[in-house]
Amino acid sequence: MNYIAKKYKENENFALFLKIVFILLVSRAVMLVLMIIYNAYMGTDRSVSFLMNQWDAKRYYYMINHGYTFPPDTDPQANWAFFPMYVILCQIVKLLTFGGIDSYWIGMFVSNSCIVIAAFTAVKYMRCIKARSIKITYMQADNDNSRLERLTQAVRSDNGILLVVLMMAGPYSFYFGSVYTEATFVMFIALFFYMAAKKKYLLAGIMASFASATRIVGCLLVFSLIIEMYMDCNEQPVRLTSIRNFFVSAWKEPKKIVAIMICPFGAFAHMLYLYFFCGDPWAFKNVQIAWRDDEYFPIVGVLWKACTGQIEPRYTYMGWFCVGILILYGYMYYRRYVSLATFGLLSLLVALTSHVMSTCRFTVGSYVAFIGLYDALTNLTGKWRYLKIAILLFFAAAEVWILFMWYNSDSWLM
Amino acid sequence: MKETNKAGCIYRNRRWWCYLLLSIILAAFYLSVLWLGKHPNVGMEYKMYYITHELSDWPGYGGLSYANGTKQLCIGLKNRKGEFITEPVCRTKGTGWSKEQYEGSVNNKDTAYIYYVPKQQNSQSAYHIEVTDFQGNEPVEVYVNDTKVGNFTTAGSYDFQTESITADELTVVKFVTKGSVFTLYSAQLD
Repeated sequence: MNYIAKKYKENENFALFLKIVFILLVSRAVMLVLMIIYNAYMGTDRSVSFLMNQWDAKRYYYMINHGYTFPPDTDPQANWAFFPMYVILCQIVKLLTFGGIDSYWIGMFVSNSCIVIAAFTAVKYMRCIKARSIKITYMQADNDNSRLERLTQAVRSDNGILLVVLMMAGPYSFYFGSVYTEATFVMFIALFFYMAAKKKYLLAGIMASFASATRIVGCLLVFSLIIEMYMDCNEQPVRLTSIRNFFVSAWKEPKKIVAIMICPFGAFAHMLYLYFFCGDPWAFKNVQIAWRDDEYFPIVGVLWKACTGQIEPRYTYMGWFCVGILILYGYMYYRRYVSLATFGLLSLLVALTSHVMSTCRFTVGSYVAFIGLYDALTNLTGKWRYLKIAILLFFAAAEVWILFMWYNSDSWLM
Repeated sequence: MKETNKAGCIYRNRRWWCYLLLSIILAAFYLSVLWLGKHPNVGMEYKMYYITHELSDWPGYGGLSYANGTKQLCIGLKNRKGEFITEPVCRTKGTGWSKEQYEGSVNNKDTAYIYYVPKQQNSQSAYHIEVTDFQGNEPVEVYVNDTKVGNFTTAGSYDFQTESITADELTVVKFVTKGSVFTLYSAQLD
């Protein structure tokens, strides 16, 4: 015990890890208590794995046990719509346990492990970019000692715990505890941005590759990588000379070209697999017709129809949710989180080309919204701190409400 | 990545070339997969349902195959109670039909399609249909493989004589309406 206490004091990473695990355990304990209340209120006796794993979780469960299968004659919703990375991780863990543990528990273990790694990486990322901003400020105004001191104190005092709380217990964070790809996807995105911030571009590219094997929008990380590289070799905004600098820098270091090129590798590897499996590399896209065939004008038409209540009430809510998230990404651009905001924006726009369905889950699963939210909340200081407290209380109440809906298999959370 | 040899000439080192080669290999891999994507190796049902969206229901692999003379009901797989229908159901309808099909298939466009891949060749075939509801004044024209075989203007049972039907080839039945709406309950191709 003394050894752990000593290590907690001396090792910053170990202390952070313990804090994250503690927050995870508390949030999961709250989920368990809510399950007991749900069962008592509804007069049911549903198990933890049943309540935590609704909708697509059942498909992932099937895939962990059976892999990809051809659709039966009665249901065209083939499971090759789902990308394989998360299922592969679960199958590896299942193999390590000699198949003795139920796949729901395997899936939940993998999801919770991934979100712990993601939260750890997210805090390290925020500390990294804040330290970088101090360095830049110091270089730009080395006489302004008081400002530098203030910024240094800001980094020290901000331990990133609020970010961890948002990821573990914020609205829609329950997806990270269930058999869904969201936690794994968030982990790879968090690792990607951390590696990119550390200028380890090849590793960032490999993380993007894993993300693209988890969900197709992981491919969009290539744009964030290009932005990170561009900003690394140019202090100036977009100009012809700075664009030329970027290409010259990439030509001098083809490692950067490999990093960019490798980003969509996971998705293409899955496409090649699908060609051998069912003869169609685009099967994951083509199968979408089995879920819905209603067509709207992409993005603007979808948002208009949703926000004006022309589809279903749940989609009206999701439409306005998307508008709120777009405003958040606008704020992130203002705060110069350019690469993160770009990824968030592109991944949301890709979803909005067809429908607003599941956009809440997609947004939470794209990770960057947490960074934007965290930044906005930590800037609410002074007299604004009451607003921050009110927002956090609202988030806590919302998560409890959403959890009840989730346990009740509500279609708003599909 | 640049190094100088004994003669003082600048050359790219081995790692530089390796990264460049790796980039080229990745680009070639992506282009190959995209080429495969342009030329999918799939069956007719897969192509018509998932890719071209010509089929409105998924008939299953080999589901277009049709045993000549089988009377198929043009309704969904399940009734209103959610129970599976035990009789043969037509799952090979194309575009032009409403989604709800508990009482039969109702056209929602001016042209509605049904597809068959007959198992047997027939030099003098016939097409039987049962129409349970008809609204409108204009007749509905029926075509088999682009040849007009007849029309109907009211609800009832109809037999249309067709020309030869080739085995294992796609036979297209087309209903052309001019604003009329009808409910097709069953269909049979001999």
